[in-house]
Amino acid sequence: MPAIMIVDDSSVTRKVIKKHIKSGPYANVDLLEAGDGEQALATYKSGAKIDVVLSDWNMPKMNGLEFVRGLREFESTSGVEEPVKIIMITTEGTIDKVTQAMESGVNEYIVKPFTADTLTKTLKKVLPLRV
Amino acid sequence: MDLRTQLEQAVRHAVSSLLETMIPIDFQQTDLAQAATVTGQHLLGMIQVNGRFNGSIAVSVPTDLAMAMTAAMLEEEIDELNDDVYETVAEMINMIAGGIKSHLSQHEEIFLLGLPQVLELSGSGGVVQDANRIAVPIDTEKGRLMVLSTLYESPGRDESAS
Repeated sequence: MPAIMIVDDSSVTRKVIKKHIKSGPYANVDLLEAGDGEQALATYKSGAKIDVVLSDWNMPKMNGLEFVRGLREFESTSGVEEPVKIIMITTEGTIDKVTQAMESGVNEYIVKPFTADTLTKTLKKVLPLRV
Repeated sequence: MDLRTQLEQAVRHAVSSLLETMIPIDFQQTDLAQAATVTGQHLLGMIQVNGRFNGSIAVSVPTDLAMAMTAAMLEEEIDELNDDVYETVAEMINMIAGGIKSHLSQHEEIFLLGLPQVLELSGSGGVVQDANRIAVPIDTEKGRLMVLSTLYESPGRDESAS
């Protein structure tokens, strides 16, 4: 079963994302949660099976961009064969921020506020549904 | 177009976007002239900004409306002022401020966003409005929320240096 990790310091946003995922075509995926980048990076480095990360940008302790850079660095130094797909979900919608995120290793970008439909369509790009 | 007009447009666009996607409640934009006071028990979500413009962006939400908005967003019954309600107001101001920033940052990043804070307040008071401060009211059937923005351009900024 594919696994998705939701990284956001807002518990209500994590709830909304879980609700959208569980009510759509990805209802059967395993879900993991982290409240900041530091916790998320530790979870990833511990060897947890994660196919997709949905990460916020502005978070305490370690922000989303630092987390993405840390994760990609860990992947490159530890010889990970299949890099995890990363979707940034954030209020930061300027072109500068989107470019910065993509250059750091983000695969897809969603600007808050977002709909369930937007989330599903974006997930389909990185985690194709099995027919 | 002056900053005040741009800011009002940015606020209205950001709030509309939020209420049409993640918090489905009926609302109507209300004229700026009616924004003079905040009354009763309410939650104030606030975020500091700094950069080319410094200041804060806040949203004042009556507690009944905050609970109704949380219920709408989570599709759950909410009958008390719990952590979810506070978190919802925090995320609301986060998304509103982000929307305002995107709207205003056409050629450069106009400011950086801090992390949101939420306070519970009661009583009533007037909202001062001037060239740097604007209060934009949005009406719903559960009450009026108000977005308050105070932005000052950083002094001594040398345009030729950037």
